Amino acid sequence: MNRIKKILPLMLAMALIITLAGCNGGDSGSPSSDASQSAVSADSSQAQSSPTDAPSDELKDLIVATGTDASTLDPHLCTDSATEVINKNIYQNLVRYTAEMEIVPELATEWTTSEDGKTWRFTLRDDLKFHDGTDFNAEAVKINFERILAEETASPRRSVFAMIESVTVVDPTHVDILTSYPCGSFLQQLCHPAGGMISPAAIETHGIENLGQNPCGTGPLMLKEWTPGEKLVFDIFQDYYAGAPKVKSVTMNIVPDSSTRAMLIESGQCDVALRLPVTEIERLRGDANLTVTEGSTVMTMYIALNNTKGALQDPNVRRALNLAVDIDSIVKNVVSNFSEAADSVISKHTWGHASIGAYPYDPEQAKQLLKDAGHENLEITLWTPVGRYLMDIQVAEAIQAQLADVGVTLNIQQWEFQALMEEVKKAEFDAVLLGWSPSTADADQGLYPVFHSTQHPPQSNRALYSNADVDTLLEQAREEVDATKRADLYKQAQQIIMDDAAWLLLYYPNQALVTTKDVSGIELIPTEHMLFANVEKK
Amino acid sequence: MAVYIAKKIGLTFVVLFCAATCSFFLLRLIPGDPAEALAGPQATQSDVAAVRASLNLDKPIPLQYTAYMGNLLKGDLGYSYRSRRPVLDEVLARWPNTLRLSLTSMLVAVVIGVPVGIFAARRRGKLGDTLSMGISFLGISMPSFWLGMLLILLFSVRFKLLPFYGMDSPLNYILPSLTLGLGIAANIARLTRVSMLEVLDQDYIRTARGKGVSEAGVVYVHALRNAAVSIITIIGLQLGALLGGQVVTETLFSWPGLGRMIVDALTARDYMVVQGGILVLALTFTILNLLTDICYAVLDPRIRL
Repeated sequence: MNRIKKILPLMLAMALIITLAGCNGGDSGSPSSDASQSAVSADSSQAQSSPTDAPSDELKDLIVATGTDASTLDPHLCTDSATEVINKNIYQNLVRYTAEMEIVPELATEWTTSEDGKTWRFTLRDDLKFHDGTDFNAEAVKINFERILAEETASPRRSVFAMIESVTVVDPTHVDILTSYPCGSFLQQLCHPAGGMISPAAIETHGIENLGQNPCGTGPLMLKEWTPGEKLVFDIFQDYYAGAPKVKSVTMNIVPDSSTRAMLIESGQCDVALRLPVTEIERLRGDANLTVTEGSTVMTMYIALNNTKGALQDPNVRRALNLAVDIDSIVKNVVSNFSEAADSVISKHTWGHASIGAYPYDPEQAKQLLKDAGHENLEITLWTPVGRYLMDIQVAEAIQAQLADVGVTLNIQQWEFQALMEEVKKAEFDAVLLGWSPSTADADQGLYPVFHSTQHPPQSNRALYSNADVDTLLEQAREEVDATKRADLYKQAQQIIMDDAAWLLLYYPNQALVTTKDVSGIELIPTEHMLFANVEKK
Repeated sequence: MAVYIAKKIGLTFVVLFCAATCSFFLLRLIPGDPAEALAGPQATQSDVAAVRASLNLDKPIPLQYTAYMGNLLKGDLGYSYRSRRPVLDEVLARWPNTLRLSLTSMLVAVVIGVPVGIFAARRRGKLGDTLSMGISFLGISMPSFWLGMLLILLFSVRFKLLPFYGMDSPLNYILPSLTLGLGIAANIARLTRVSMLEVLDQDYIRTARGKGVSEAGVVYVHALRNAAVSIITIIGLQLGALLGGQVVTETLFSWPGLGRMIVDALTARDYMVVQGGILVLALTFTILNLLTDICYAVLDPRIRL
């Protein structure tokens, strides 16, 4: 009895905590709503209705669990892929990629090129409005390209459109874009998320500083509220030209812990879970209430071998390293088949990919090559980021074990990603594990920055690869507008790069999306974007 | 006391100056370039240079420092590199979340820790003492992420009683508060026990008993008040630690707090947000210290501030 007396106050106290916490919760919004942004309000979080409350004939709220908060909803300034996923649904480009990586009309209906390949004329849709009700027209296209190229915008993606010399309004539905050279990859460049069209009225009102919190495009989603670190809520743009998505609203909840995201979708507390680790995906495949959609990406995982350092200068040594690593076994056993072994330095969904064929797994030949080159007891240090890429450390360790079989000692040094990128610029490393994802999904972006001899660190040619023939091919291809000829030039370049074994080539990682069975219609694009335009929740 | 508080407020400014200066220079010692981090690994050097110039990171560091301190004096914490929002807005959006979670966690800790400590002290050497101190030892040893996972699995996944995501309802506070509070409760219980044992042996307690004061009166009025000074000390310290150190729990429960914001900003090399976050934490910490000192004076008239 005495014991119960002692426990009773404890239980009462717990009840008190719950009540108190509730009182605190009520006035939580005030500090942030003091802030200047109208879009940000913590109070309205309580207004969110439960998705299960709605009657069956009404549209339902779609709840998405994502890992990181958005940075800026200004497509001209955005640089991280997590935010690009959101921007791709707020804004639209003149043209876009489909899931099969075909380029299809979006804001433009058709286009023609001039004889010299430098002037592009786009015919625009005449029935489009921005979220703020203003018209989309040729003037808007001009204002947008001029904004991204302007010095004061300081866009980190300016180089994607740097070939644009001028934009001329022909009439409200026709626009001419003049490029400084015949740009073979121009349509691919236009698909880049940075090419999203913003309402000129919003550009005028919010300036460079505030547009990121007050987005205004033509896409299916319109920002309703954004509570930093907590969630983004979107209304559906009812005037969306292709028909509004069949949901009432879309809420992106920021759930940083991946196991928490997995538990949320398992317990039905969210409809879509993004960026789950491969271990969770394998587990969730068995759940009858969930659909796992897997898709390829445009990324290539590789080890940049320092082509200018010690034994690694010898192409035969680099070939031997490629021969000594069993990529199929790594794909199967380390990354659970959530990748595909690479057969060229650019992935299958990158425009211009040629299936060159990887080095076979042949440890005997590797040993022989190393012996002939006089490097039987080779010792190299591999730098690897931690947790940046799918199973990065585990992959590095698997490679370490396989190289040991041919007498190569691989020392692994782990880095925090930003520190690694800083150190790599000094070009003093032996080898570094990285991923390259051409954001335009074109061979130009897939090859030029990483293999052209003018792109050595601090730029992106982190293997410090130099080959005059490759340089010429890449330069020619950049200015070739004939697609067949351009593809052939890239094929030749890929062949030489593979023969030179500039990289220790690994694999193309996949992406996955987990939804409940009630959700359908989300389009997964290999550029790691997903489109909610056709989403439906039963 | 007024003089003391005035002095303390003066000292607060010194602390803030030091925090601002240290965070400014320490951040710049870490390898990694904010402009490069913002532009991403695929940006060209000209893009990176444009970003660097737009963030004023191309200026010499002493110049950046004087500009930053000058803005601070005007109450301007600068703009986030990543979101281009004012840092003050970013911090103020998250600071109340952190504060509320810290307070509810501390409430859990005190409400559990103090009674358990008193209970153990009164049953010194008996089974109740051994048992409660054994459990408290477990509480101290358990890492918070593990405890948090366990609580989620038990109460959310298995029994579906409590939510583990969101902060819309008071129920959302229970699991994170328990995760953070239980470990501190264990600390408080052990300290309360020791302080109470010390006090219960004092002459004035014997006198009180001799005068016929009820046992509850002896324990809760005479003994607890004197033991409270050391309990307040640990509450003040732990509350400070709670405010800055709940990153793991915030991540686990998707709690949009200050700790997580600082760690995310550090990963992205968003110097301004990290500096702003540290500054606000330093300010909160010094205010807490001041409040703790005032509590001492109120509890024990012999202490003069």
